[in-house]
Amino acid sequence: MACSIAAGRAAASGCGTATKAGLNELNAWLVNRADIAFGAVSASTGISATFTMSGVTVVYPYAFDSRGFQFDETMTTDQNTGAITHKPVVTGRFIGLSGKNRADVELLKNTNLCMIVEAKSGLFLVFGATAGLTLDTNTAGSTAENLGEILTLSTSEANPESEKYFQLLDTDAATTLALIVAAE
Amino acid sequence: MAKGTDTNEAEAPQVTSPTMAKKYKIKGGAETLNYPGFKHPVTKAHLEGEKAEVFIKAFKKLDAKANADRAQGTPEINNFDKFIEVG
Repeated sequence: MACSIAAGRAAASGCGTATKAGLNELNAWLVNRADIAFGAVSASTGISATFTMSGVTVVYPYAFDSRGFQFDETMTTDQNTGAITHKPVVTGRFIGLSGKNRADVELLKNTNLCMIVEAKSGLFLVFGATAGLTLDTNTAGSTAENLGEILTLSTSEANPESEKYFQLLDTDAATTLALIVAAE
Repeated sequence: MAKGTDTNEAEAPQVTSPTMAKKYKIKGGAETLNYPGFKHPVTKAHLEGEKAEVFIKAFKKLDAKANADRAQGTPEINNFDKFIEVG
């Protein structure tokens, strides 16, 4: 790993470009982490250009409610070892209280997942590629503010991500989307 | 050896033509297509490029999903035949 900085970041590289916030709740996929492998992430662009699925495995489209569908990631440095790890947290909601939503929450327990999601800016982002996401918390509620099943998918304390989230891009957004949909 | 010649001709290895890759076009000759359920516009170049089969597979998956979600009694959805011409 480089010990000194070796490149700047001019305004033209993206600092001044308006970008739409938020994730597209209708273009999200979950996949068993063991079933998918991504091409190397470029150190300069943060992009992986490929992914491969093992055997006959598939990616699962996973629609969430538009409200509160979000991603946060925190990097921490171990005070003793200096090891750097990342904790991605994806929050989503299955709208409404129903047996189906309950069953879907149950199915997420004890899984080890990777998420591909399209941001509203049109970029495809990958979370949980190195250690995997698990169902971390679940709350259910009946009021307008918390109606349904609210989930957080995150890494466990014992098994954090060794790398940051990254962007998936094969040629262009249409081709990337086609590759993902074809893998469903 | 005339007979042998005949035999050799009969046993000459058959020349098989290489499998021809299918060619895809947007119906009506349009340059871009907004395929139902596919968020990004698909261009003629996408359908003629090396990843054409990936787009075709994705479109067929979208049709299958649309049909799985379609209300009972409504006609079958076949956007593929509606928008794509196979050559």
